[in-house]
Amino acid sequence: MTPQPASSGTSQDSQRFITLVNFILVSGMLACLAYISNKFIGIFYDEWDISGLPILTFLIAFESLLAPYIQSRITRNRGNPLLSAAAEWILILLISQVFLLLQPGAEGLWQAVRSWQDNFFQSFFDVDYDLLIFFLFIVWGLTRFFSPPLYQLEEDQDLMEQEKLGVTFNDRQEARRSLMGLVFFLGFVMVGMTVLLKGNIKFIPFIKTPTRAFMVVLMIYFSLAFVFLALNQYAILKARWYFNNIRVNSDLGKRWLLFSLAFILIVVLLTVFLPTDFALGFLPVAQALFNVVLYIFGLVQFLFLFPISFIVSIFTGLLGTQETDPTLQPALPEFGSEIAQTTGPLPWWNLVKSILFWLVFLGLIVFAIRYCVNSHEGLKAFFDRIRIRAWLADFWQSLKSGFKQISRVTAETMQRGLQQARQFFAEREVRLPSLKDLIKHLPPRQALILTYLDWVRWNKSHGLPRQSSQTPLEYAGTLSQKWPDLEPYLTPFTADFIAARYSPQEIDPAQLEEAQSLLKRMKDLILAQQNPQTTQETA
Amino acid sequence: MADFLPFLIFLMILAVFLQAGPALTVFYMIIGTFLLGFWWQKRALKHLKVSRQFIDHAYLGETIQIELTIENASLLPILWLEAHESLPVNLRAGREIKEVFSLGMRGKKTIQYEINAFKRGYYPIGPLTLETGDPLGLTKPSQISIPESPLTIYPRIVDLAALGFPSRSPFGTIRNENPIYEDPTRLMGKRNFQNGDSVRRIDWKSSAASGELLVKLYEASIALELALLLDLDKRSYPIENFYDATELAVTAAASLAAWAKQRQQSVGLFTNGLDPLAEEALSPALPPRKGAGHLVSLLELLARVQPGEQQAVDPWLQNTRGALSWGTTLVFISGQVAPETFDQLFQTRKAGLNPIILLTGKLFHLQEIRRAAAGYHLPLYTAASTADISTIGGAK
Repeated sequence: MTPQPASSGTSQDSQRFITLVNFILVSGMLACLAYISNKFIGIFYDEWDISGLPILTFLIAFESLLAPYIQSRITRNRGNPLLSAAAEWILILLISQVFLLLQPGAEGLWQAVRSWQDNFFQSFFDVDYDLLIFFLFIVWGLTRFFSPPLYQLEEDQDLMEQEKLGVTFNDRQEARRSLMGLVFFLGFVMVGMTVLLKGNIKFIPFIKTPTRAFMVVLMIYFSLAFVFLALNQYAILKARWYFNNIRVNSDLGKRWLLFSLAFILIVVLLTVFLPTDFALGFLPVAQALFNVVLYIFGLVQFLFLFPISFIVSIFTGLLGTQETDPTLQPALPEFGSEIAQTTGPLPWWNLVKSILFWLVFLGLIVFAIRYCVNSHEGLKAFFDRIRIRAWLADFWQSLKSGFKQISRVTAETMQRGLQQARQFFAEREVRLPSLKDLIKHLPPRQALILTYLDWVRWNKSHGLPRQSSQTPLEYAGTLSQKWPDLEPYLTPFTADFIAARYSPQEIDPAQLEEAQSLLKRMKDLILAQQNPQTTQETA
Repeated sequence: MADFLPFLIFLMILAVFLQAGPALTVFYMIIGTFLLGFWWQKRALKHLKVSRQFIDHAYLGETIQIELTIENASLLPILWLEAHESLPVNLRAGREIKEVFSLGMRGKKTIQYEINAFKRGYYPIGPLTLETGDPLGLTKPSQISIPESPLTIYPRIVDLAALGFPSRSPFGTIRNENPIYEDPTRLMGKRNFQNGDSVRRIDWKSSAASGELLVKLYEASIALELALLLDLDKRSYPIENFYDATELAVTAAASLAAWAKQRQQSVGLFTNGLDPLAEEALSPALPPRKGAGHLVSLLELLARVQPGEQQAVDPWLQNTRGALSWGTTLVFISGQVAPETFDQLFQTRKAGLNPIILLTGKLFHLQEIRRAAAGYHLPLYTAASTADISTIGGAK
């Protein structure tokens, strides 16, 4: 159970391997920077286009990282740093010149060498070369920024032993922070250059390189950066485990590298599938979503009100009241009209993509903010202090209780209304349209039959009901017996009815009018005989 | 996360206002790395199955093998998992169980270690703390804690072959001529029913078989029990040898209990020490019983019990006396006896019990104590070491 001894040769080899991987990763990141910088310099200087600049940058960066490392850590020959740098630079200058001269091909190299005979300095240090050297100097300088924290994070057994004893102190977290700062600063610069190059900015000329190429380079850069940070994290944790006497599995270093690569690969694959283009800004998308909500609300309202209005219209028709104004009838809301106003001529897919984008984007931001607040005690305490959560909870509770109140009142009102309606219809017999009204709207034959029906009902209400076995003529005979004065009217009236009811002959409106006139006279006559005074008064 | 927040804000501005696809891609990559790492580590810990296997009772001096099995039940591998098993200081002897390892898909890791039962007690083995994080260190590492498992180490038991306490009555269950103590579990025989016999005594099966009404005859008996009164009040032990004296007292109690069990004697334990498992830490009283199961309960209590100051000796003695039956031999084990305690023990004797005093550790004013004990006619034994315990009550 004792911690693994840290001074074994295998551990040192493993550490050197990780350091080498780190150098390759940093060189690769700087090569990505070189690719974008190459395009960016081309905006200001048209003739600038060095196709192999990323490769050259990679080589120079790797050399700049490796040479001092070998000198200080492996051969332990510290020497004079100025002399070393000078030697390094002579090499860089020569390699750069050869590289630049080889750009047009071997013939170009020969021509350049010949031109040196005329004016060496002017020919050797031309604009392209100066720019290239300037860029490589920046790269070289950047490697000098990367080196110290990398050395700091390296697992040096002797130093760690001293640290364990408390003789020295190595702030690895600070080293990692400085590396992260560098990585993100370079990323910041690269993204900025890419946005300027492909951002359709007026004063920057259009370049042929597709946006996708820049995106790929940026993804490579950040993938390398993340693997680099993962290895740094491993270095920090390994030191911590060493100081705490924690036994570490021997193959953890290799696993770390492989796992980090797999992890970053998954992230890259996920990133590729996430939406990056959106046609609509946040506010139009919000407006479109609001319109969709409104449409759904209208639809629900229509579905709720339509049956009620339909039933009401049937009742009003039956009761013979005035017809409802058609504009007051609920109408099915038009789907898409409002959204089309928002999105304009864009197809639906654009809207969906934009909604998806904003959902993902805002979701990520909200989560990140929440995490940030939770992981910083000060921020968390601040938000707890201002009781924003309590306010939101109170607000939500009051909203909920408000909605509940509205829903309760609505339900009660509806219940009361239904009860009243039920009571109303129970108390009041449904009044069918009068026969007189119906007669007005029917053809003469049916109208005449109904007129006779009216006569039969009227008699029934005045104490002379027609028996079911009686024919119209028999019934007429019964009535004549009671009111002999009716006979001159009753006989033609009954004959009209028999004609209308049982014969195929045409019934004209004149016949109907005649029948109605006879009916009126008969009723008046009966009324006069029954209540002579009332009739006189009425008259 | 907070370290690259400014960069993220910059990317957001570019993404939203300039609709820059590359900026958005980088934004997704950073946030995606962070979220995936966060989700991965949470999920990894959620799907860990941990088991700790060992024999949870041991005798002093034994070696206990403990096997920790940590299994990843998920398909997601775990890059690093830091395991830290907390061990009681008394058992670990300077060792720490800390290890970092990876767990593949449905991978399993077994950690085996041993501890030595150096000291009696009730120990928590664990908790096991497991920590993991994302490979980039963008999120805070997450931790879970697997609860501890208890380990009971019994106190030392010394062979008391030569033990022979002076007694007004012999130890154990003895016959008694007084029929009021008839023991219904001791069937002596049967006889014909006579007028005045209780209906309860009729043996219905035998009566049915023989055709005559038969009644059961029981042997009359009385149980004379052994009660161990272990005084673990801190004030009863001199500070100079507090630890040794209290441990010796516990050893004496355990040895007497084992001795009684060997002779199929009922034995009980009463102590005013503290029991970490008991409510308000007051040790439960274990009235005299027989059997191996009871002895185990008794030894477990003796393993757990610790000196305390919650119950003073005299009121505790007074309360305990009432719970004991007539004739019980009461062994009062302590570090010293105060005059008031002698009074209490004398009252105990007057109540029909048989008190014996056993003092452990280095004793001061021993002559005075002996004189007082003789004055009260109370037998007094002393044990300054484990070897002394084995010779209690007689020469070995």
